[in-house]
Amino acid sequence: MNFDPTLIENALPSLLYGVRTTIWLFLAIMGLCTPLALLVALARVSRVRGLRRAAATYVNVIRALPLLVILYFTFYGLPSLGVFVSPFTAALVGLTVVTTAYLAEDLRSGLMAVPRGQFEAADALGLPTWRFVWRVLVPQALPVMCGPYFTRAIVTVKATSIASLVAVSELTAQSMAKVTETYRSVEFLAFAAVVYLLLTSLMAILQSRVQRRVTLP
Amino acid sequence: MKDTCMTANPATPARAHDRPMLELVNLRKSFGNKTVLHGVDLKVPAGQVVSIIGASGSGKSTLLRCVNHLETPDAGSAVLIDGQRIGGPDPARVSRRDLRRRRVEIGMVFQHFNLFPNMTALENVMEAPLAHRRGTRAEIRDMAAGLLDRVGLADRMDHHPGKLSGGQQQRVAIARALAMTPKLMLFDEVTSALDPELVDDVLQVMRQLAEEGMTMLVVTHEMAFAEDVGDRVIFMADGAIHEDGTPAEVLRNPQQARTRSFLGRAMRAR
Amino acid sequence: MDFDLSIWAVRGPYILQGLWLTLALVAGVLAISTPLALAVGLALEARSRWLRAPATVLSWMVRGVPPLIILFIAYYVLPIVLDLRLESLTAAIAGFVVYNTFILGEVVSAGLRAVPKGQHEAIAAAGLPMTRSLRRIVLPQAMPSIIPPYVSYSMDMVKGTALAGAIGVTELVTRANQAIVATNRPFEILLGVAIIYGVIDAMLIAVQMWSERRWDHQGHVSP
Repeated sequence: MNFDPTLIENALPSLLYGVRTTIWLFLAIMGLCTPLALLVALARVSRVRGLRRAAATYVNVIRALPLLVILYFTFYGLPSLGVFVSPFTAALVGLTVVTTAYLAEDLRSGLMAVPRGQFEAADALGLPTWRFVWRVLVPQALPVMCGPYFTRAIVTVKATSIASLVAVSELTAQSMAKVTETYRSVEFLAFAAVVYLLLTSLMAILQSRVQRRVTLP
Repeated sequence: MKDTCMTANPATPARAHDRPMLELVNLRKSFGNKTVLHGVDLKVPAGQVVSIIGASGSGKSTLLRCVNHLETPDAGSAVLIDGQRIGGPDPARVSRRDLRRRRVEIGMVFQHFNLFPNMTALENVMEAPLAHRRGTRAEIRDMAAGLLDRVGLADRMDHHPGKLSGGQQQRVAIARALAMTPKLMLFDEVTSALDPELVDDVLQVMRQLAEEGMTMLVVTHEMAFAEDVGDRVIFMADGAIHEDGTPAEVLRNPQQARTRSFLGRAMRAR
Repeated sequence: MDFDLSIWAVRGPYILQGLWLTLALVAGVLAISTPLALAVGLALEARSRWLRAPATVLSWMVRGVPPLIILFIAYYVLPIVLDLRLESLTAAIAGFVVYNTFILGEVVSAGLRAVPKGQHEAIAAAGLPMTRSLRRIVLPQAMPSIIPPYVSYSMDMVKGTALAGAIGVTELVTRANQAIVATNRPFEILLGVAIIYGVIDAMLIAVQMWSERRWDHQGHVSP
């Protein structure tokens, strides 16, 4: 087995395009699903039973399905409903729907870690629900949420590779295109693996940094 | 401001009318099929300090928590604050908005303080008035600082609860409850979680509050406090009021055998 | 939009044949990777640096790369390294085994860390032989914290096998995809597939609840 780095060098523009797409996809997913997941997690601990049930159903149904099935739903399903979107958008929607469900579950455990007494104190003071959420509940859940949040981010970096199966030209797709084009697999798969490893390791470093900082006073 | 009174509003003058500050009518509460309160009736005039004693499981904490609807009383119950009923005929159907408005009139202090650990002492006291827009930020800040000064914590205002002793935290919690200028204060075993040497500072603050004419409902194990500060003592057992009278009547000359046996145990335990 | 589930009468048998491939893949991968994961978990917690360091580095590498890339490596690179032809299914099993071994290895290692330190000291003091103390004392105590994530990662594994289609294993989702392309009826077909996964998920949750109860009885350490 030989390794020819010049192959990577020649393919670099199209590989870097893939890297850029992967990073954009990842950032867009996290940007969308962070507020959404927080809302779903809050719905899961809400006093309103209907809200609790709806959120639980969403989370449980989505988590029972393979990501690929949901990507097929958005990739094939949206156009057949007359919604014509790019593969990138279809993948973004699918991945956001899935990541939101998982992240909501991660964040919920943070919310549940806040003691009951805090809810009672806020009730006794007559704090409006949203004020309680932003001033008391979320700040206290934050330290507990941080670890699972970044773990989910790492899973999401890896999950973006599945978008290659629904025609998104991200890192995996661009690398595999080069494999088919050149009949050389080692170089391009190594390139892709190393880039993913860099991205996930970056997240892991960020995770330990943030976790050391975010603690209750 | 400093020397007038502890509550932020001027002390309520003794009212001419006979309307009680708190009235409980047929207060019932059950959890599942276990009935905790069997239709309690109680009238507390303005300015009265009522101590509620009784063994654990007697329903005294539940009674207190039903007053501000932390526990929803069963249908048929009614809680009236200053003549105004909380919600409609069915306590389970009170709108949250209405509930919030009524709760502001009732201050509550918990056994485990339940301060917000992510805020300083001052921020804890300021939180509810800010949420209810009780004035400008500066006004609320001054008011909160005044309250913390009155509970003897002027030098601890910028500390987070984690940096305060249990007694100090409980005094912050009292200041926080007072910040909404409540008409009625509920105290739920507020000294039970404290080290013995920290209890006196908290009781001192409560005594001062009583002298200023605050209406208080105090669930307690501190018989000395009930005797010295209370105007009235209620003994509860099995979810009902079994004895109700002045401290001298209930504590020194109980009419019922179970009150005597409870007091005997409570005194021995001290 | 018309919705017509009768499409399953025609395409159903072909798609469902993929289910057996999915289940065989899951069973094969779990059977191989479970003992390997135990070894990796022990290596990650080993006292010897010569065991711990390579296990840690390998775990970091494998868990930092998408499973899809690992599948592609198993399918395209592994045959070159080993100098032999690999069937799609074999390559898929190899790829998933590698990925799963290290994912589950971390679960085992976390479970071992959850066993109180005093227990290890007690074992050392009693002079129990290593394998016996592992089998009789350490592992039973680690089980309650290993089983729930183990089952939940197994669920991920069931869902993850859908990726095997990328290297030519015609499992459930791949066949569903083929049927969608042939009929242009994504909703009917995906709904059917979703129901199948829902049933599998429900069964695994039942297994999880059963095993948690079982291990709670046997492995529970009273304080």
